[in-house]
Amino acid sequence: MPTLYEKLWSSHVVRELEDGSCLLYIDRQLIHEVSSPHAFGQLGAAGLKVRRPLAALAVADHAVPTTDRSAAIADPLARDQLRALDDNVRRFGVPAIDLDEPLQGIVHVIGPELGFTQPGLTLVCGDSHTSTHGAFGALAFGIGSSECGTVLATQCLRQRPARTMRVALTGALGPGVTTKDVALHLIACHGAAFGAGHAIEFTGAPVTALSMEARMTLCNMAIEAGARVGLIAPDETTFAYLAGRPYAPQGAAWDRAVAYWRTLPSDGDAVFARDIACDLAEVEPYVSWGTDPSQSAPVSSRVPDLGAAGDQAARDKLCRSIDYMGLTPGQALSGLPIDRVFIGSCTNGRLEDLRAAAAVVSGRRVADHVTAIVVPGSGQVRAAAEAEGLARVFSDAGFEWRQPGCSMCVAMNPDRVAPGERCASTSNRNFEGRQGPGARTHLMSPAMAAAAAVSGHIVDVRTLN
Amino acid sequence: MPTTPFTCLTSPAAPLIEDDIDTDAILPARFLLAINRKQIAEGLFYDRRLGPDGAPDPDFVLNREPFQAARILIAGANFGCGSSREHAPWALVDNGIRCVIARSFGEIFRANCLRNGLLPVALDGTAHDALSSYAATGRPITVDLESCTIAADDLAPINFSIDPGARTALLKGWDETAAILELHGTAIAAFEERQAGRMPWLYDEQWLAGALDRARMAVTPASGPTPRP
Repeated sequence: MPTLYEKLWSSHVVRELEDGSCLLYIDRQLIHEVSSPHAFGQLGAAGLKVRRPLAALAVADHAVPTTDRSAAIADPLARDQLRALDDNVRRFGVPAIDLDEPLQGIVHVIGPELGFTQPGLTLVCGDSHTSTHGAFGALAFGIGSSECGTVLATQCLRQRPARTMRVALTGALGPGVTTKDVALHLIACHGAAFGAGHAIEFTGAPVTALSMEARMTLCNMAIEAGARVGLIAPDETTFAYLAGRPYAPQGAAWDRAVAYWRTLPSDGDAVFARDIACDLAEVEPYVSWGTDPSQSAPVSSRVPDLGAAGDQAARDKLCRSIDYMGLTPGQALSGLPIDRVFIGSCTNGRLEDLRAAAAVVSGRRVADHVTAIVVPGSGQVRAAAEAEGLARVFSDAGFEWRQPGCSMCVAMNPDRVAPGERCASTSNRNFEGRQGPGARTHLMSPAMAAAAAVSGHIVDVRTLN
Repeated sequence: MPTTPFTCLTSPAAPLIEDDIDTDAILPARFLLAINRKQIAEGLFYDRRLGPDGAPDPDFVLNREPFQAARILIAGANFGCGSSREHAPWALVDNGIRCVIARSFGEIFRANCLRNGLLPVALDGTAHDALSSYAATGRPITVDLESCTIAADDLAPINFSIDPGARTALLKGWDETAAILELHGTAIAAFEERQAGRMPWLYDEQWLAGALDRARMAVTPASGPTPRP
């Protein structure tokens, strides 16, 4: 009867509380430099220690430069924040990866990569894209800094269960179409808050066929639909991905873990509070044109006309978005000139993403007026991409090949888009100012961003010869 | 850390009636580099409040009388969506705003509000419309958490609902971490013992402690940065 979410939830309830909320046990926490200073500060002020230091893992990703790291970090605020993380992990005994280590990367890339992320866990991080880890059948969600402190001290959070939602996928992805396009398609069709209050489970035969990377992209974007939790049932693909990774159990412990993980998928007769269907055959390569991810459309379409808005408030929002983006109503998306390309982020900074982009770039050059960067999601992704020649493909084409980090997804490190510049980006948010004040973001898949880079404008990757 | 209790508040309510105001708009990412609360607070709605020239935008609601000193904000649906940054409610609170009324909230933002003595009130269509129109006049409204009502002269009282646990936490300004340790410490230890029996791999301290070293042994370092040709 129960769904995957309900199994994960009920296996972590420490206690039901009088007001209907529950004290939920949190198995694992990922820590980065931005949301942790306050959390550790709370512990320090209250004289508390970290309850289970080995259940946490820390790495810096948001504020780090992605160019040469041999010199000191120029921004004094970023330097202080990184130093605070170093001091805190040392003081509280939390395992951490240093900035200059080959393991460094974005929390949501290294967690899975190290096998820290596992099915059946509850996992939190002071970052909204923690939904990514739901791709493993873990109950994973983003929290605030104060909550991070509570988890460090107690391994628990007071929570209310989410409502369950099933997004049933059918059909098959067409050539040049990815789970990034599926996510944008769903959000464009159902709204930027359609998942609010829900834990979304993606189900269906096409999900079973997806790689872990593609699953992570889908769950990563659940938060852009307003859902803190995105889930995919663990299966043979999940187990094959995890086997042998440093944090994954081994030997008899592995067998026991896998036996447990096999019990997690939603039961055949499980009932979800809400059901949505999505035929993948209908999904085209998507591009965002506005200032939230619901303002996305197939690349073959146009910026909406103002008449498309229902009421005055919707019209005001539409006008504001179109104006900010420097577009005109009815303008075609294809052919829109771009200034920058960013390939990377916790959404699309994994090896499979870089392969898809490199396949498009190979034998071509970045357009003269475009500045394009590739930022691998982790040092391990970077090393693997170098080993199989992808880095050379990008460099030969005129891309900058960077060090791992959140980079141009979030304007709090040196990688920013200048005011008024238009960026084809594989990141997750096209909010006003997200990539820098006045920056104009167009979200898309890695293959689409690569196509934009070599064409100098937004283009349907399927039309490149 | 304990927060300032919220009981009752009377103030003009600044109307910012837009849907999907995200936490990047409430507090742009570049202000997240600051650890100091005063520097963070300066970033509140920075790119909305100030024009590209750095001068206050006279059209932005928090720059207009009588809303410059407003302690209540009224927004549309999905307020605080996006990033989990707790810096957004910190910046609101440190600029004097202790209550946000909206049609709905981003979930992480809402949880962060509760941890900082900032009352999030979700109101449905009619009540939200009436209050938004009233707020635009600049006359004060009173939000009372004891009775869960919003009242103002010439306005029918509006009831709102909030989780009992969240209400108590706001009224008492309690410290969630201390409360959990005090009330549930034994239950947490008992849970861990049960779970360690069922899922021992989650508690293998030696295996966990060696994980990063095993990872370090296995990786080949990537090269230094490749400069742009």
